[in-house]
Amino acid sequence: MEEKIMELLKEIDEDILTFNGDNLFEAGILDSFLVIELVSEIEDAFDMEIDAKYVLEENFKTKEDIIALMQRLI
Amino acid sequence: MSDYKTGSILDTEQFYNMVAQVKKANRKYLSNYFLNEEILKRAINHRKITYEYKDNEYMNLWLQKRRFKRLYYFIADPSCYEVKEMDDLCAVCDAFCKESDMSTVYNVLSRGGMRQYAVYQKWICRAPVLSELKQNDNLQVVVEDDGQTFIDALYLYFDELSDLLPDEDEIDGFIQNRHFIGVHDISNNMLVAGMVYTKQGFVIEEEFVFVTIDYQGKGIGKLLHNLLYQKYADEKIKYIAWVRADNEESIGLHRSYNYEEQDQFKVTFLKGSNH
Repeated sequence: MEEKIMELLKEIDEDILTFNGDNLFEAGILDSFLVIELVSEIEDAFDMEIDAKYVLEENFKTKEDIIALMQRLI
Repeated sequence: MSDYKTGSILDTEQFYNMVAQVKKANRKYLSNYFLNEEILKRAINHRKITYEYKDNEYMNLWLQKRRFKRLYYFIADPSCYEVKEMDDLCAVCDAFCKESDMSTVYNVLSRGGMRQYAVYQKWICRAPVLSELKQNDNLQVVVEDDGQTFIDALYLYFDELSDLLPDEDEIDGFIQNRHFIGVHDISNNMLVAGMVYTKQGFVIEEEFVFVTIDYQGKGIGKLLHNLLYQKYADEKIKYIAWVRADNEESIGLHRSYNYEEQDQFKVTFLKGSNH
């Protein structure tokens, strides 16, 4: 699963994978539009639905946060 | 066939339940891609938020400000979307999409009775290039980070879409979360141009730029941009601007600063008799 998510993140923006800071939004790499695109990609790839209540900045601040969220949901 | 329901949103849970319901019923749902829980909570607390909801088909979330109603968020089965009548209010909706989705967004919102007002494209810049400026000794930057001075000017110049401006009880929060650069003409002590922007970490987004009519064509827009880029010259900033897609002048200006266009569009729709 982790590998598949990494692939999706790479498709959205390679910088997500190499980013070492604590907030992808403040670094200008992710924004609300890209999050929705990413959510849609994940939903399609894993044939699942992600509730809007999880689509919050705090769950997408780093690639680790994104993977942790997916581990909770899948 | 059941009719739609309408009412006030009392908490975020109620909102999320309705969204989940529409999503479950429609594998290919459409939304305007905008969800900010902080704004949602604030609006709920101020009792300003209402909804229209039809089981499994759509949900519209409305934020009311003065004579405007902003369709703040919608999620829908694209084949059966509706936007209900607005009384005498003007309804505004910003839909965020890629170019390939623009016709779907247009068709769906048109089905709801909304008409396209303007298309803005997202431009970003990571290494701005300063412009050459004309010399004007009468112009001076005297207002910087002084939000209160800007509020009247914003209401004067942006009244047409004034639902983006703060209500009286929101002014403090509006000022707190924004930065301001103003240009005064010292010969008559007038604020003649200004820029309002947000800064989150290393991301700066232009929100409002205005130059009063008598001062247009004098390079003041460029002066404002130069001031912004000089202010953050020591930081690695990503600058964002939403540029009207049919405004060749603004496109040329942003391109000259080294902005690059993105496949992200904000399409503004209106409904109502006021506009």
